[in-house]
Amino acid sequence: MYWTVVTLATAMVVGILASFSLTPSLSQEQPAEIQSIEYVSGPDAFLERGGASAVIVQLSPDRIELGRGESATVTVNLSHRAATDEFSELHLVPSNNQGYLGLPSSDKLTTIEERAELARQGKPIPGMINNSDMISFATQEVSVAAGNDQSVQMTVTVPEDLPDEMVGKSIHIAPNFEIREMQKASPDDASRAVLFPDMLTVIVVN
Amino acid sequence: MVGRVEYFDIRSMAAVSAAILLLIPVMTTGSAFAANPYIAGYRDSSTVHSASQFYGKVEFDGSTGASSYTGGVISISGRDGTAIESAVYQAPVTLQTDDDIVGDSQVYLGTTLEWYEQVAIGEHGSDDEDVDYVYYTFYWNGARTQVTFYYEPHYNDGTSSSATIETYTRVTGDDSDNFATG
Repeated sequence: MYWTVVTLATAMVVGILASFSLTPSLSQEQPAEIQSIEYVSGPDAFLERGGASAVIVQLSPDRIELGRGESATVTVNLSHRAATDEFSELHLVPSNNQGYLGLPSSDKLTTIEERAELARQGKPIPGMINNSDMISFATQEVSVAAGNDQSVQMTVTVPEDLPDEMVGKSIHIAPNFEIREMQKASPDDASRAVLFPDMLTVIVVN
Repeated sequence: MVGRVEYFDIRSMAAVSAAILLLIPVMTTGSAFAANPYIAGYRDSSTVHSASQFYGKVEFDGSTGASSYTGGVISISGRDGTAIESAVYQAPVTLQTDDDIVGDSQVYLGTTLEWYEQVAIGEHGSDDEDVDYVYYTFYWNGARTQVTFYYEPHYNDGTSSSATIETYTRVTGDDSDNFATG
């Protein structure tokens, strides 16, 4: 994780140019001098760029094989790395927003616009299965002090009625947690602590 | 107006059909604002339009053995009426050196990282369960107060997933109600 911040040099990104006092007038907007923007990827970059706390998720195991109707337990380790003393402890609760499984046959049932909007609203998506229906957690809240780790057990159950087309194929689940402190924060402080998820792959064997 | 980026191929660094889209070949710096190689596409820089939604597709076929993070990113400024705002909305799909692929939704205000969330997308490789390609989009809500980021990885075995939705709520200092595109 040495690499942290990606820096982009671009003549085209007009947004960043506004911060360099370019004209706001439509008629006067011109291609700009080469400026630089950057994008951040990963906890190191986030903390270097002003983030207060990073919660890093690690799953063990991160790949399992299950038949339909079968369950397995996965250990979810949550590591709280803090760059400041803003959050001495974070309280994490399993989110209702756990993503969806898309069956091979589901792609043509809706458009990406429809899927994005239905997912945003937490509504069923035709041909897709809500991951929340396949996972459960042993505890509904985990507290992790800065610099410490905590683990929670997650049970994964492959639906008994999963269609035959999924046999031999994969389910991908990245357990998601809400950070309670962030829910209370104003929008201006809404990204001071960030979750960095890990992904579980379940191979459906029969 | 809706902007669309299609069939953006990391391997071939194919052409870009949208207003602002940047390809990051290889960059290994921790220092901000250093000069780095880049490829940018800009269809028409003489006129700026407004758009409420952008789409992208990223494929990492052939991108093996990356020694540095690699990715495709849509990066676009906010717009308020005809004024271009200092807010920049970015939706990178990043291939990490450990072959994990993640989505790194983020918003900058000027040079300040204002908001950031990461979603897991999958692993790069040739196994059935590895990532084939990633669709992604971000868009304003009806009230123009929030921007939703959505990533949809498709895997080699024909399955797909909808990564967890991340939503940015406009903060003080960000007056955008649209995106600017050329």
